[in-house]
Amino acid sequence: MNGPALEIDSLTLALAGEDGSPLFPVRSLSMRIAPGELHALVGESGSGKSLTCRAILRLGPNGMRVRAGSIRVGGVDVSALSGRRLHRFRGGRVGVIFQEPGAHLSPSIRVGRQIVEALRIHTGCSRTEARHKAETIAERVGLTPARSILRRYPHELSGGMAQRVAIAAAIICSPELLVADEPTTALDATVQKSVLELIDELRHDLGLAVLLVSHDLAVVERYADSVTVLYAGSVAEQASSEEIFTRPRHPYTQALLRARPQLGDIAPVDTPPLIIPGSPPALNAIPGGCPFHTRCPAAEELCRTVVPDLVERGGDTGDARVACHVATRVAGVAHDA
Amino acid sequence: MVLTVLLVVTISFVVVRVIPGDPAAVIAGIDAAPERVERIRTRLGTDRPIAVQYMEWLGGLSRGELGTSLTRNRPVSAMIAERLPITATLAGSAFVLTLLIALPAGLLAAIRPHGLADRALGAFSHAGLAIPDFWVGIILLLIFSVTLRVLPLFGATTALHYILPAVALAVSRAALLARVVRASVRAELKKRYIEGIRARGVYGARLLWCHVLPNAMLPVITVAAVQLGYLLGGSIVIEQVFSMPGLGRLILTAVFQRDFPVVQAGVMFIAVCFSLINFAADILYTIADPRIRSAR
Amino acid sequence: MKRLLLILLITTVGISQLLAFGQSERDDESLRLAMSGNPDTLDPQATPGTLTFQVTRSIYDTLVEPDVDGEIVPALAASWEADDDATVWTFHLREGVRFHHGADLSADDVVATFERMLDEEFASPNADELGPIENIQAIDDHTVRITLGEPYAPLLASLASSWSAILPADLVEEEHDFGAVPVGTGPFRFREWVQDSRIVLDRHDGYWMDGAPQIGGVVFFIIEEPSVQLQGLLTGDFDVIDTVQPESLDRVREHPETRLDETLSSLAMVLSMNTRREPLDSVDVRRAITHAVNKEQVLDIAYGGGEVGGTFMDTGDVYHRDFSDRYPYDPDAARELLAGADADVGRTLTIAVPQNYEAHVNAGQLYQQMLEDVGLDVELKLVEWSTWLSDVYGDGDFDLTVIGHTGKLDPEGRLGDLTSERFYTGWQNAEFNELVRAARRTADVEERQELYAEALEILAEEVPMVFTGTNYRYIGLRRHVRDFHMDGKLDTYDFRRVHFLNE
Repeated sequence: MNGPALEIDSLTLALAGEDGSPLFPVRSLSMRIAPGELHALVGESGSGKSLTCRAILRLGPNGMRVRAGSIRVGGVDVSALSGRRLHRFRGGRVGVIFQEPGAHLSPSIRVGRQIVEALRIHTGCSRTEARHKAETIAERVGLTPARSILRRYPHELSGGMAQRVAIAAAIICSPELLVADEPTTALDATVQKSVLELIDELRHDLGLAVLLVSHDLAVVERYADSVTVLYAGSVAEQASSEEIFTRPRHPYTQALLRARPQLGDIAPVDTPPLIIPGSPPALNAIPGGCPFHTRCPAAEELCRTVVPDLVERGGDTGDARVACHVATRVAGVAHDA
Repeated sequence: MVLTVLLVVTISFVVVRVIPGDPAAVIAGIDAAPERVERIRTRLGTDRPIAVQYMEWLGGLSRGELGTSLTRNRPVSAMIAERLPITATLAGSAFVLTLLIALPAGLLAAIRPHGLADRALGAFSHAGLAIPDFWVGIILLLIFSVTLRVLPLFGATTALHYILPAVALAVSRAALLARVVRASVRAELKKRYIEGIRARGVYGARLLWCHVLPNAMLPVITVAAVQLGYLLGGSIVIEQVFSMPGLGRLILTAVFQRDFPVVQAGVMFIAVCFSLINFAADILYTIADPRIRSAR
Repeated sequence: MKRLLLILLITTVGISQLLAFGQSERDDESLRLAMSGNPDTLDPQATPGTLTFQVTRSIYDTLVEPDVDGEIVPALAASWEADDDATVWTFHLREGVRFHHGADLSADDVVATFERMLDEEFASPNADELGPIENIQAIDDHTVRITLGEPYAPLLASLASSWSAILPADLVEEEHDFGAVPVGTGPFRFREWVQDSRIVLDRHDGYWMDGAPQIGGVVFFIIEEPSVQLQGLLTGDFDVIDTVQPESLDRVREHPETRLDETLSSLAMVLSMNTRREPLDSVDVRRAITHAVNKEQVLDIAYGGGEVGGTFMDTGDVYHRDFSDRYPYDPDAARELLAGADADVGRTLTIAVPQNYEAHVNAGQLYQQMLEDVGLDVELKLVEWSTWLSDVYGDGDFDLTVIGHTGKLDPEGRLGDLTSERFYTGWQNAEFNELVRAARRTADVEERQELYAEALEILAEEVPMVFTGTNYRYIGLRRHVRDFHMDGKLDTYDFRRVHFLNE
């Protein structure tokens, strides 16, 4: 496949606030994911990660719309889809897995049926064919013995198995893109690893583009090819994984990295990932200037008034950008010197 | 279940005797001398100690005998047997009708809250719950049997006779059940698995029938089972309005006349019905929700 | 969608029901009557119930019967005579009378009938009505002799009453279930009884009375809902309905195809007082209460009209005497009497009302208002019929109660009860008791009338009950039903002369 699997261009999402005034939970987000690439979307809760995922699938909460920009999956403009084509797109060209796999499976239907449901309604393949395919894919995602597991109900599965079922259901129609919205947050550490290994394998083997939403930086560092750091709905920094982890430029990225548990620590799964003084702003109270300036240790006058542009990071290789007055100036000075 | 029934029977045995009223006085009527009433009491055997009567009744039950009606002097089992088909047919068709109205109506209303179907259901259920069954029955009679003259006015001999009473019974039950369906489907639609399913491209009728409805059935089954039970009660009034010789009227008359064996058998019969309905509902639960199945 | 529902419904109802034919295929020669309740039994000896008698009257005959004017005339007994002190009665049976099952009527049947009724074990609730019978014997095939222990004037009336229906001896011997399958000599023979639905009778072709019956049969449809009865009459589903509610009287009167049969009932509508209790033990208080009641209004509003009474007798009875002017409606007089009464009139009085009789409930409310108008504190308590029978009527546990006392062919049936100390009002009067006892033993009609007139006057003065009066009994009829006769005294129908006028 030639073009990017996912191409988001200057996406701004709008939601109606409680008082009716529009809110913009995601602003000017751009990103591209090539086939086989694993791109991580990082940020605190409320930074707009999940809404971005929903926007890709057009599964937004009621009232959410694309205010500006576009989302393309395999070259197809998602916002132009409607009716049957939209339903085919979901589950057909893009698969999705969620944080709590169990809760996202229909409780009263055997998992085998759920895995092949998309296949059956999108391609109209026969029951036997579907069963055969389900067994193959179940084995592929490590659900063994496939036959017996496929006959179970969601509540009879462990979290890890449920996520494997979700993955199987998500990829059964051979989509171009897998959206994984915090897929392992709810799982314990060892299971977490095996699920991530599975996703990693699948993207290599199938050339599947993966958008991984996570706040676990250790996971991101280990599996992601590239990273977008979101803060309060806008991109703070975007670069290859290596750049982000070795040369973070944005004070927010730096704070995130400092706050993460050191290698060898046992990561407490449920604790918030970072300890930065203060908390992210509410959607209806995003400060003017750089949204991070209220919590930024390096903030200066300019940060309070002018929104920093997302600009190429000086001295970096490849497609790396940062939105910070200070970082840009420092980089610029360093470059000049 | 056997224990429940035994308990109910015992309670009914005691209660029907503790409340004021005496079958002998009813049989003797208003002008009978007290000595006459006593003589009738002796013939009926209701003057014997209550424990003796109770043991005799239990003894009869163990041989499968329900006793003899005090006022009508006929075997209770025969009396029930000749009326059961009528009440069962009435309650059964009313129940089927209830489901046929409530499921689609509730579902339609749930898909678009505050839409046309939802508002129509709102109006229907308000009216249906507010108007008593017998009133619905009388209105239906006046329209279809008196004014239009397309359906019979009284009796229970042909299928046509069951249409109006079944509708009269179904209206208020469907009104309630449709609301339950609506609420349950609405709640189900908000759950996360719906998002998971929609993310796989499932939509429309398939989403509703294959995923939402089965999961939304639990509260619906609960309410429907209760309603089926109460249909037996509701049919008492409706049988009277439509002059149908059903079980309800038998039991009602028996209560007024203090015809103990009939009342006891009736109560026992209803208790058995309730138990069976609950049992069936339990089975349906496990079919509708595999989580209950594995919990056992 | 509607059609689908219909189809599904019909499927549910089941094929067996579909195969059954419509309401007993309309026999144009049968009279279709809507009856307000299901009789408990069709055994006339097993119950005093009116519903039973309304059906059995057409299946059985009695030795004698009342004619249209209430006079006792021959029926199964072609003639009879009594000895001088009216203790030995001889009945000569009609020849050639045949039971429905084929047997001929003979003296044995009469003997078997009354022996069954007097059997202690059978415990017929009507046994006491026969009076002091000592012996019944068949003199020959068609002659029966009844011997009484003491003179008992009401005997003939009792023998004319519905409970004295003559049963066939052979079936009595077999302990046949007359309650389910009645067999008699009457104008109609029993065909079927679908409980709570209908009772079907066919014409008895060999009936002894010339030219009777004229119609092919009678179907009693059991229809509890008065509005359904009314609609069925108006649409022609019924020829006769036994209930017309006060508010529907005009509709039946004015409808071109229906008419209203209006007979004075045999009921004495009363507001009974418990004279064992204060302040109702005071005759002044009872008179005050009588003054307080607007009887005409109660009859009109609650009972659909009637004749005002003044003593314990239905106003249409030959023994009735009009005492309605003794303590007429006069609230001021009532207040005056209450003020002067030597009794505690401040106590709350409870009116017990049998709740299954709407008319009595309405009357109870009117009584309550009227008594409160004269300053009494009154509350209403609805009681179930069987509770009323056992607690109020049986145990005398009440202050005031609303009821209608059914009449009998003979005044003894009504007044004899009052001589019992266990009668629910608790009122006792030696002079009254003596008069009633004397009347019971007196065969001479005029002499009896005098005795009863005196007794009735005592009641009118003592007022153990407010004697409100007698209501009309309304029957709705299609106009083509002719020569329909309602016996107000027995509250039964006589269909023997009924015929249809061809439209």
